[in-house]
Amino acid sequence: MELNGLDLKYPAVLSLGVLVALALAFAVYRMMSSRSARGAAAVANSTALTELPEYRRALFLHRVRMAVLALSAVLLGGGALVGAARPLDTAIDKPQTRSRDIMLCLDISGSMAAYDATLVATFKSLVKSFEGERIGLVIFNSSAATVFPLTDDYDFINDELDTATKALSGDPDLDSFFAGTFNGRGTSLIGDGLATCVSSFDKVDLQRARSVVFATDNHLAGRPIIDVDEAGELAKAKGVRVYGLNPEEDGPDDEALEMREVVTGTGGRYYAMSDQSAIRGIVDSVQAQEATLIDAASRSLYSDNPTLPIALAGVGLLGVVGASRRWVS
Amino acid sequence: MTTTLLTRVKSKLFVHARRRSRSLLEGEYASVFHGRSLDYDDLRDYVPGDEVRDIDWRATARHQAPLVKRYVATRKQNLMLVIDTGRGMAATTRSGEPKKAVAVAVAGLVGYLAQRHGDLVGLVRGTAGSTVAHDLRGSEAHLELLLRAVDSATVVDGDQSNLATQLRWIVRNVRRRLVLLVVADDKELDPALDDLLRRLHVQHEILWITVEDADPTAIAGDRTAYDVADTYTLPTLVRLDPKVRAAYAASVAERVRRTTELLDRRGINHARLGSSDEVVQTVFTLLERQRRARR
Repeated sequence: MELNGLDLKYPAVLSLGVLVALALAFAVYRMMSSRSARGAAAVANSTALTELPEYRRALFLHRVRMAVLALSAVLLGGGALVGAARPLDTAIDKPQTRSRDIMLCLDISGSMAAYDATLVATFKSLVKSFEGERIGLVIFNSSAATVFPLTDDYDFINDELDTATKALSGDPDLDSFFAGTFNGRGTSLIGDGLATCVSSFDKVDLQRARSVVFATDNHLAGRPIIDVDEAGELAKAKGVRVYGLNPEEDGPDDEALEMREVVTGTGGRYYAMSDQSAIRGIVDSVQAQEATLIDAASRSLYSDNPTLPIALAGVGLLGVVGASRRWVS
Repeated sequence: MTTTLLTRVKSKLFVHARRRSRSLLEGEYASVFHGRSLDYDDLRDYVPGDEVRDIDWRATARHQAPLVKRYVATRKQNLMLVIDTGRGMAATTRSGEPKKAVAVAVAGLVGYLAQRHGDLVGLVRGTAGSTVAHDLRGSEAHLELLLRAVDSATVVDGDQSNLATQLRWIVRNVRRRLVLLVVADDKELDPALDDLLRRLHVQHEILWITVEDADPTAIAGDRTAYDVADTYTLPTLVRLDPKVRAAYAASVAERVRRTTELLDRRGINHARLGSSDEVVQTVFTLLERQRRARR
């Protein structure tokens, strides 16, 4: 989003108003001068009056008052005109930033318990790097549960990730966070989790860039409905890239190798959790590879912004009322 | 012009005639400016304003009403109208009329009274820069001419006023004794003028009329007020300020007091006029005071 400063919805009102104001001022001036020409009284020896200190003081106050009045009138008229022309804040919206969906997919099985908080923190920094992409979070153990579906409300996403951090750090008040993740046979059913994540994208008929950030150690403990390879095939079939994040507790073991294979098979990449370039790499490859899919049409968003002219007109009104009020003497 | 200026003056007098002020004024003028000679002329009815000592008590006793002795005047008086025709006199006076209308009314009235009594009336008029003198003559037409000269010479875009110029002209050019009717602008009398008055008063008899200025703080707010001297427009809201109005009233009162003091010290009979409706009454009061002062 890009802010373009003040714009006017009806600029014609402003130019027309200025013209009308000028014409009005001229008419008033003509009227006053013709009236003074008709009703002028010639007096002589007025220096007797104008040399009085009372007169000089009154004249000074009068001039100050006229200046305030003129300034306030201009402020009031100008403010009212600009306000009537409806000042707008223009924001140019780039819809391509919303053309990517990213599903964060977190394994919360016992073997991962020590790393989950760190992984959520990684997700958070990952979220910070995106702007406008829709992001969702799915956690899985023996079954998968959606914490929040795809959304571009980043405040909400950050709130949810904070809650996740607390829950994963063992806050007893947040046990409900894990609800729905123990419904399968065994624990840590990796293939089921990945398959759920891959199936969690909406608007399947639209061609959008879809990615899954898949954080797991790939240590299976139970009997999944579909295994990791099958889930990888599913992702490939749906055009979803899977980026792997592995804590690699035991170094690059067989499971890690299998995961790398599956992940790279979908067009994604594999990273060890300790890898400092992981976040940057995921972000770059998500943005770089999928920029071509972006719809180019951009649109402008307008919102009324009348605060400044109305405030100035208010100040002007105060000045006009104050200066035209008869001063108590 | 449909009516002559003198006709207007006379009509003012006739409006007052119901109160017999016309004959009153004539009697007043006669007793002020006509010395009694020993040449007894005839008797006439007493009119208020006549000297009581002129009443012929013997004739009155044989008659129903008091009779007054009329003498043949020994000499004609010379009345010189001295009138400021500067642009200040084209401004408005208290009543809203131009000040020159008041000047013409008062000069016309006194001139008319003088002419009726066979006196000669002349005019010295002018501005700060120039002085014009008109001959002393005794006809009504001449008086009308003088009044018109004053009326047409006084214009808003004329020269500035300075009566000292005209008084100095008289000091330099007039040798014989005159009755001076000075119609002056409403200004502070400076020491130079005071000196001129001292010198003039020795030779001439002076009547002083000040034509008042309109009060700028009393002109209604729907009209603008500007000074004829420099066309400076007085801001309406400023001149109507109550504080300014009070200060101006005080300063005017102070100036009137100073002027009165100065003229009294010189022994010059004077009056202030702000409307042509007051002319008859003011002239009467002026002559009355003059008569008292001379006795």
